[in-house]
Amino acid sequence: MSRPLLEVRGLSVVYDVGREGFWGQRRTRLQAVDDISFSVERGQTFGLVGESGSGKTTTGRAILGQVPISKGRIIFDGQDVTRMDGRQLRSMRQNMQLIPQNPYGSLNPRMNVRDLIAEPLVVHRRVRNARQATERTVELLELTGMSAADLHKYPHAFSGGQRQRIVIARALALNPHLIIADEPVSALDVSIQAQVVNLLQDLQERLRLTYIFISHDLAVVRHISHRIGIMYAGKLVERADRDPIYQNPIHPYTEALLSSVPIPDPTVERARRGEVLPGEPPDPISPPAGCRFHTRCPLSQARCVEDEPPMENRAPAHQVACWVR
Amino acid sequence: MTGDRPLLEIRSLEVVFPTPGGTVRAVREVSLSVNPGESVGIVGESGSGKSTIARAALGLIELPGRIVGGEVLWRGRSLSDEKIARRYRGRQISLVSQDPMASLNPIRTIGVQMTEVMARHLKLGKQQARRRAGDLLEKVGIPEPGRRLDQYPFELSGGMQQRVVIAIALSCDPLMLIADEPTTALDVTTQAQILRLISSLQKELGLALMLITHDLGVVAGACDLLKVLYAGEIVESGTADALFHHPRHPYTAALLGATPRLDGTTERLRIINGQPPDLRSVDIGCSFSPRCPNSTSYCESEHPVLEPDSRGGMFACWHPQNHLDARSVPREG
Repeated sequence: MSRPLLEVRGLSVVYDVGREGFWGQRRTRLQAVDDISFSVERGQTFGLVGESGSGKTTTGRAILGQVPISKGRIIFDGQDVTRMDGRQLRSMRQNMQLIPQNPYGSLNPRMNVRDLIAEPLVVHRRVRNARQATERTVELLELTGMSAADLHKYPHAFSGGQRQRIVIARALALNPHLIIADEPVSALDVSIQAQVVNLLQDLQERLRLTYIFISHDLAVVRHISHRIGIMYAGKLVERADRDPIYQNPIHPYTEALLSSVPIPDPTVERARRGEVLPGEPPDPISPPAGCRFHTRCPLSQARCVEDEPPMENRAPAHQVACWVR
Repeated sequence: MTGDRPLLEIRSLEVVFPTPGGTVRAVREVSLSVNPGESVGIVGESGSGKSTIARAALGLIELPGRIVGGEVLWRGRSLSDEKIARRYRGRQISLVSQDPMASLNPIRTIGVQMTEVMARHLKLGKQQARRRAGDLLEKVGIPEPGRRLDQYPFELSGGMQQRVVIAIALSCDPLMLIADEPTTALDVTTQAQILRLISSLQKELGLALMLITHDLGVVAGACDLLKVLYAGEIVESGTADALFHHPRHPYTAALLGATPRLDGTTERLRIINGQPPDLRSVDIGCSFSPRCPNSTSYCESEHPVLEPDSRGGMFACWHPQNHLDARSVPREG
């Protein structure tokens, strides 16, 4: 296989969240992402899964250069993005686009569809005049299942699913290689969610797009991803191709997460009544020492409390950070 | 567990919300009943009317919303009488809603909020109420209940807040719990904990449960009976097993097909084309017909009504899935 489109190596992101002490002499730091690595092959989807506060959104934003990186490298198409200056970055970022979760918050209500989609084209001088901008906008609308009839409408005229299509059309305007989709279907109803998931898959095939699909929903991630990383409290705990994650999960957290997802089948659900994972994710400002999952892990041992487990190969292309398994 | 008569009975309920763009018919001709100890799931997407039904069941339809037809009876007495509704609401019938932070008062301690309900309905003294509040917190799985009573909601995680809301809902020994999307705001592992808690409390206390959700997975394990809502109407009802394994209404079938499953295939999701209808101008025919694969011109002009099928369920459709026991299907002419 050729080199991956994106490589994330040892990425850490630390947020300054306030000050402590009488004079505010100590900074409070929140390590949102702690030393995570993964790579994404061209034309594939990497699913990044975790619960709230696991660091999945921060990881996406760090790749896009929207939050400062404390440590690590981001290598896009062989080039180290973390070492670029402002100008190089601006041109590089045209190749990476974000699809955010909330299609109500991400479209300016005072702009019509044409202006919303044409804005990136104008900013990056991809079109010479208004006619070209409109032509390209229509092309993009049709690509995402909308039509030229929608050009002069405003976001309020559309449902959540249609808005998300507009957001996708806008993200595709500059012909990006990589799309970071952060919970792109979480705000949508089931019947609309399926439409958008299928659209993303079609677009990937047609335009040879590479996705990082960030989601808390393991069932949706399973449908769209080729490779998956599971995050817990800022750490990547397991990384493997799709089927091994679902069929042979190794990390106890992955296992617990899978058994927590309800299955729409009463027979299966009644038979699944095993133990549920107790407790809650740790406070990100003072995470536990050792393995961050040890406070909730049913298999926790003395070593887990003291030492942090490294990410190690357990099978071909299957890495896990766990002392016990 | 079945009682002699239903606790909650909704008969041909019609709820409208006047808006500048026209009157929204949020709930249309909905009838359902919940017997003591029964768990009934109400499944629907946004705008299907599921939360409006929950509010109607508590006598909480507020202006500009209006009940324009039908009635809601709690053990035979109409809840449209505010005096009666007040006597039962929070006491015999209580609500757990989606966002615990919106249910709890942010500037009062957990203890104050819990004892308030008990003082009102059970006429308990301060000490008694506080002791009971501690017991309830323990029952819903909150560690160190004594300390929690003096904390404010923001000091608790989302899962713990929802447990507090459940404890308050249980504080007057209700007969029925209405849970409106109780786990939608929670993470998946917390959701599993809360669903488990609701189910075990329901069985242990013999509560009737009305669980309202958009998530088919959530009702699959928690409810015995299901109602599927579409555009303000019940389109299918029956046992959970029947609906999940042999859905008759094409919408139920389509919803199941569109739901990604952990244990299913990874092939493309089956989609439901189009959008839900605008409830300000509801068609005369079947509301689902514009999106329905089985739809014919008859469906567009004739409104199907809920009729019993051979397995004890009901569905409203002229061209149901697998025509094994289809009722007389009109021919197109």
